[in-house]
Amino acid sequence: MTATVETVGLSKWFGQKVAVSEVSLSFYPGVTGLLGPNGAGKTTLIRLLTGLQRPSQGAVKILGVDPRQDHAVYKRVAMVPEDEAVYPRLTAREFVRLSADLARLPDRERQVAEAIAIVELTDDQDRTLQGYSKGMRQRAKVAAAIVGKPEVLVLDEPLNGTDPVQRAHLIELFRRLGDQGHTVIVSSHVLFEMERMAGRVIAMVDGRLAAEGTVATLRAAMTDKPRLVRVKADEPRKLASLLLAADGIDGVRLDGAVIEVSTSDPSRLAQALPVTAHDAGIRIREVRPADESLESVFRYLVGQ
Amino acid sequence: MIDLGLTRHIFRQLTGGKRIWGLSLLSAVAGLAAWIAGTGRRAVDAAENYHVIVATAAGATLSIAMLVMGAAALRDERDGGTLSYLYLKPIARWRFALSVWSASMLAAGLAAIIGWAVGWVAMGLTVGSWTLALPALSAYLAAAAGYTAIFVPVGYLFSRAVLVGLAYVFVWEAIITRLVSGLGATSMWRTALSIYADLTALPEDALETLGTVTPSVTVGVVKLVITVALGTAVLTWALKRRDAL
Repeated sequence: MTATVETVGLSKWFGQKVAVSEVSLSFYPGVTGLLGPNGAGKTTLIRLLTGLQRPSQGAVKILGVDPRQDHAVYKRVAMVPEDEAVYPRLTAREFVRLSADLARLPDRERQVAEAIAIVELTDDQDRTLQGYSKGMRQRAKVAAAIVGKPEVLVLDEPLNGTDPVQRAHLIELFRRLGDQGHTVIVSSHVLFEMERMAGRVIAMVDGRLAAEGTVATLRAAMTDKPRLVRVKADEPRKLASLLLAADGIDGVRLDGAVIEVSTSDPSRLAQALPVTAHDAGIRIREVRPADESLESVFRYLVGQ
Repeated sequence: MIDLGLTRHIFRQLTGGKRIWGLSLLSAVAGLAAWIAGTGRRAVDAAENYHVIVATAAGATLSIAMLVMGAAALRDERDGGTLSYLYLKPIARWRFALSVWSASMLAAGLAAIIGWAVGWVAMGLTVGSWTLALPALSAYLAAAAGYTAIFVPVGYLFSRAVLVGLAYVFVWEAIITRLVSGLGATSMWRTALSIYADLTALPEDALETLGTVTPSVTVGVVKLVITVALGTAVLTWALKRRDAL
């Protein structure tokens, strides 16, 4: 399959801060997810892919051309930006029509009406966007992007602010576009959303590529990650020494009154901890995962 | 040459809010001043007064109005996060730049015409002449075209565009071009005034504002065309070379 979007050694820095570092990627028709915690560099990568920002180093090709050099390619490329911003005084129909006008689409009235219908805003299309909810604005932005049926559609956190029904509807729409042969690049920091819409996922952290593959591959990699659990108990020193001998525990560290337990098998820890504490007559006050954030998972993947 | 859709959109954005009325009022300051100053005076004095006030006061108020309008054209889109809706469209960057300037010039021109109309009505009522103020319209429109050619790229390039623009107006135009006589020709207001002065006989006090610049419609228009071409070239370069967001 031919890549529709390609990056080679792509880097972007702002002064001393490196936002994207040495990213070489290829995107193909279908839905590809860009996954990563906030600040991972997803938005900067998307801006580089679409030509909104100029690479500090490396190159981008979208449908075979550099988008910053050949602007005609924007007839076949569209983007939904992360910013909530829309034109508050425009109606949804005017907003989508603006997009169609600037792209010089043929048969604009019909295409605009179709795009608005796809995101289910037909009944509200003549209301100004300032009166829209966040979810409705997101859908208006999606309509403005899909109005020309672009070959490459780049969406930066498009599900932000949408309710579960709208979310399911948009996910279905992105999947359908992917199935029809469009290249759909969607960013999100929510693995669950990604799992439902993207066949292929690219995980980023700290501006670097952390992992690439199917969601299943990514999940498998994540289950290998040792988990860190913080335990507060009445006699932390005694409990820490007892836990060292327990099954399924990789390491124990005492941090003041808090015990940090490292395990690669959380279920075994869940069994061993209460039994050990009960047998020793120690009361457990709190058990809390220390590093369950998506960011920590990504950091682990980068470290592998 | 221009993309009508983009020009229409930017024009609507610039004229859709309260800003257009505020800037029209600012553009009308010279006309209002001439009205107040001319009331109760002899017609010939009121007419002379009008030309002097336009040549001096309008230079300051118009340049600020045009600065706010010109700088806002793309700065509002950039700061508001909506620039990507325009930038990611199949429009050649020179055409993009020319379209944005056209919209900005039309919006600034609208404010300028409203401002000028106040003076025109004032002269009609106080002097009884409805043709006296007509040549001044050339200065108002030339200022709108020239200043927006400068301030649209400034608005795109600088986050503190208004401060940069004010420095241009009050340091470059008001001080440096007066101190260094050879630089007088680079003043946009004097260029606009040179067209006005060539169309009507201005009193001595008004001509002083011109300094070493010779009244000439042809030279004024050529300078305006060059300014617009340079402004478009700078904005085209910026759109191609600088990050859009």
